[in-house]
Amino acid sequence: MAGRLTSLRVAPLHPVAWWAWAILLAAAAARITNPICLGLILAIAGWVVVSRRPQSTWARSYSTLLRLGALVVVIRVVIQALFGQRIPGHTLFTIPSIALPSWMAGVTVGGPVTADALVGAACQGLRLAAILGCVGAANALVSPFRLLRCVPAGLYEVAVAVTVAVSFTPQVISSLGQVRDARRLRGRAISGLAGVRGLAVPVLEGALERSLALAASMDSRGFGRRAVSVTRQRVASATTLAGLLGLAVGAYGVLDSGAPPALGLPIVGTGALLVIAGLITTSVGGRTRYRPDRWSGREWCTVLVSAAALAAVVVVGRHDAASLAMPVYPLSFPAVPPLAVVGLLLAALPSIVAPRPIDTAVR
Amino acid sequence: MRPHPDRTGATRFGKRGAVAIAIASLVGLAAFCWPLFAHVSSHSNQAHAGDAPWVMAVIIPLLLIALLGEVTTGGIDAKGVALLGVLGAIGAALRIPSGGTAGFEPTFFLLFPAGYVLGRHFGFLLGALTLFASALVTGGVGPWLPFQMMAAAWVAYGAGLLPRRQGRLELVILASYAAVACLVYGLLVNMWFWPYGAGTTTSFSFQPGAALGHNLARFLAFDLTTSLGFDIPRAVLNAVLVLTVGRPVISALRRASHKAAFGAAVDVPLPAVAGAPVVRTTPTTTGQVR
Amino acid sequence: MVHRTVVVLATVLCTATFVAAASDAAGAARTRVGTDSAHFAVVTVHHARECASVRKAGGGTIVVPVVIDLGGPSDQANVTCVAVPAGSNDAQVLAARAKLLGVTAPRYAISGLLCAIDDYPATGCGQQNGSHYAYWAYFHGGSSWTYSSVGPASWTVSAGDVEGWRFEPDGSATPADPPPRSPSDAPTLCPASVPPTTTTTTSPASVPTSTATSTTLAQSSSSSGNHGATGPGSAPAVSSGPKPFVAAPGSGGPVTAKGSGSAPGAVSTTTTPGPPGGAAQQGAGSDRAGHRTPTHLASKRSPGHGGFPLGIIIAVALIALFATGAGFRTRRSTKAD
Repeated sequence: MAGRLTSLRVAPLHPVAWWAWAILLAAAAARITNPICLGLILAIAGWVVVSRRPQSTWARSYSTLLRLGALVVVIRVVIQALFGQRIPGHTLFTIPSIALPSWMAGVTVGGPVTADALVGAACQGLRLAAILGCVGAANALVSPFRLLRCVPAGLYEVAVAVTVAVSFTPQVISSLGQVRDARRLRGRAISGLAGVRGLAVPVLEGALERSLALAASMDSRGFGRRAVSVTRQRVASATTLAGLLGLAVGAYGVLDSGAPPALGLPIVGTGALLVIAGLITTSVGGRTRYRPDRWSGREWCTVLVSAAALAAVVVVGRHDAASLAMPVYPLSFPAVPPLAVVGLLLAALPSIVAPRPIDTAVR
Repeated sequence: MRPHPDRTGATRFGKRGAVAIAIASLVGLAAFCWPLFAHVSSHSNQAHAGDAPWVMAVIIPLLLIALLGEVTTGGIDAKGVALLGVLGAIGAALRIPSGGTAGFEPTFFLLFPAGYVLGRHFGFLLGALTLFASALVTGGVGPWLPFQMMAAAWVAYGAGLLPRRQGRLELVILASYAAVACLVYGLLVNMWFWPYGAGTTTSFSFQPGAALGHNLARFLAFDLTTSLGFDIPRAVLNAVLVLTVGRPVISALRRASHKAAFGAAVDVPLPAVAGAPVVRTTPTTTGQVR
Repeated sequence: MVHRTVVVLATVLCTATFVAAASDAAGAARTRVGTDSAHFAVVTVHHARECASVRKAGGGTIVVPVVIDLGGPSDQANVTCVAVPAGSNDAQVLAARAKLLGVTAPRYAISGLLCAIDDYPATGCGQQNGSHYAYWAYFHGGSSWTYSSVGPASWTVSAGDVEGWRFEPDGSATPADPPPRSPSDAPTLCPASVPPTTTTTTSPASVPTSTATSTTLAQSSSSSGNHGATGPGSAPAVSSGPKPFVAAPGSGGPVTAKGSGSAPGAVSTTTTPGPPGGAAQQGAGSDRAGHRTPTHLASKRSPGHGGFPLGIIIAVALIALFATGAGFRTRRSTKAD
């Protein structure tokens, strides 16, 4: 352990890098129903988490989301068995049909349950579980609090409100406990409707009191005083509104079948860029950061290997889409696309490239 | 300038913010309900389920970013931020014991009186913030979070649109709105979950390209089967809480908004120079430099 | 502990897949249907067993015309009259058709999308090139062809329904895609489908009923019999389908269709076994568009994804490696605390 002390000075990886890695990997998982590749993604995410997660309570979120993923698989399989569309295949057993009221027309309960249907539903549930696993990995590797510190200055007020909310929550809970003890000592009800009434009001009043004190202290420290010119603000809000309009038109284009293809994704992309540009316009100038996280070669490496994995999956999807899918009807073994496997293996690199976490509880 | 006791105006959005919320809400609704409008080509390619789900999953966070950035920049001051934060903290604390067990989620309870007393735009911000803070505090950030934030923001926005009444009638209106709003929230979040939970191969999956009524009937069947057991307890719990605890909470919030004096003008007397005007600033124009 | 669950999940899924695929491979091979009456008898018996089980279940049987159009410029649509229990969905109708003809069952994607009928196309499923898709478009017949807005597994067939499928090599996945090139009404395609009750010819005792049906068909179509015999090149050649068969049962008994090969109309791309059997489809199958005969390869699945290749073993080994490595690291870090 002594040799590791030299690594204590190395800053942890930028939060956005970890989240980008996780989101790109989840986007790759969303294109796959092949259980082999999905299992590989889950295993890689788990490996990276275990290698590089800091010792904090946030690390539990990975197992929580994994368990949620398993629950999703079970739900999908059960729903498919009970309510699935009956495509003839390898029948395993038959559920007796139940007559439903006529207004639920089209919904069928019961019928032959095929292995194809169950395996197909399990693979689709596994796809969701893999996405949840990637998001859980991002949660475990970097707590969202660190992500809040990277929020651009355009969202500063919102970030402060969120920070206040999260910091105040333990105080609210402790004041709840105190009020409860005080009432019990006075022999007043602490449960039932009267108890809830008696607990809610003092806690709320105390919290509101503290909020005004907090506001006064924030004001006296110059909260909200920014040298942002009105012109810049007007430009920023015009850009944001134009971006919102672009998103609206693009969403319509994506949904409407009769719309020309140029109306869909490109306009959504333009709208997104405009929104981000509006955000950047309000963020530039006037606010500095305390100890900003650095973006260096390691962060680039983390993001690029995940982008490479996504690119490999996309390329395989274009050339040989059947290998990324689980063949059902008829049921057979899934193929293993070598290019996709190699690309996904690349995404395990951050377990080596990223710095080791500091062995203290960090938030 | 004393603020009206029932229209506290904790935030100043103006027309720009209202337009932004309107556009964003329309887009958000389309982003939620895309299975009802999806067309057949989204079904054809098996490698990815069509563009619509992922485009919508990206659009909602962008909408939230745009809205929150747009309406808070210059539209909210320290008092508003502090109040937002604290009320969000209470909402997050309310989520911890329930953990979503069978829909007993009192988290939403505070959104209704707060939106009602402090205005619809404040309610919008509070709804989004409460869900975000409670996600941070309880489990973690999941892919459902932007949708939950949007839906809760709408629910709290609606509370600000309720008519102002006195006495018992006020509570009854708010409680019935609370029940309806919780059901609507459940419907919206279930609409998000519908393509993932039912896929395309069950008898209540969405059928790309089918008629709106057809898909809607299937969605209602899916909702009935899977999530009504969560939505109805949540609606009942929140309505009961509003009826029982609503009166003191509303009074406490009104008192706080009086004390905060949102929208009060600030007089800054300059050093006495003959003929110099007294500078009058309102919180929203603080810090702006021409 | 978490990673143990990952490993267990992976193992369970692989075992389930293996078991299912292995049992599928060991399952019944499709029987080939030949042109002589012995095999024809087999088909009849198959059909009889099917219908017997349906009768036991108490439901009625309906005859549904299924029109398959391969979409090529020189392809012609072919019709199959399939008898299915009432209340079946179109996926079950297609599967019954495949079983009747002795061809590969239709292949579906995991999303429920129909990929291939009669193993055409051999690979790919709704491939997208640019803004066009190569996919099987589903139509409902009746007075005219209607583009279906639901999938085959969601549509319950009823008496008088006509199921149409056309492969669109360059389709737009909208109702503007062209429908199958055949008439769309049930009486023209499968006269036996009009009175549904007469088609429950299940036991040998009811064979006279089937003959009776066939003779009525002969009577009703004698006037248009010439039309069917005008030659293979006629565009609505599919409508001449039942007639050649119908000409045969003047001899009584089960329709032997021995003469089907002789009737020129039958050779041209029409395969309509109808209720009394489907022997002639073999000859017709070889003429189907002239460029492939998948019906002869009925018992083979589509190649390319079968077997237990080395790749799966390697991939599973990699997954196990990562999972156990993660497990060890977790144990070591908890021990170090």
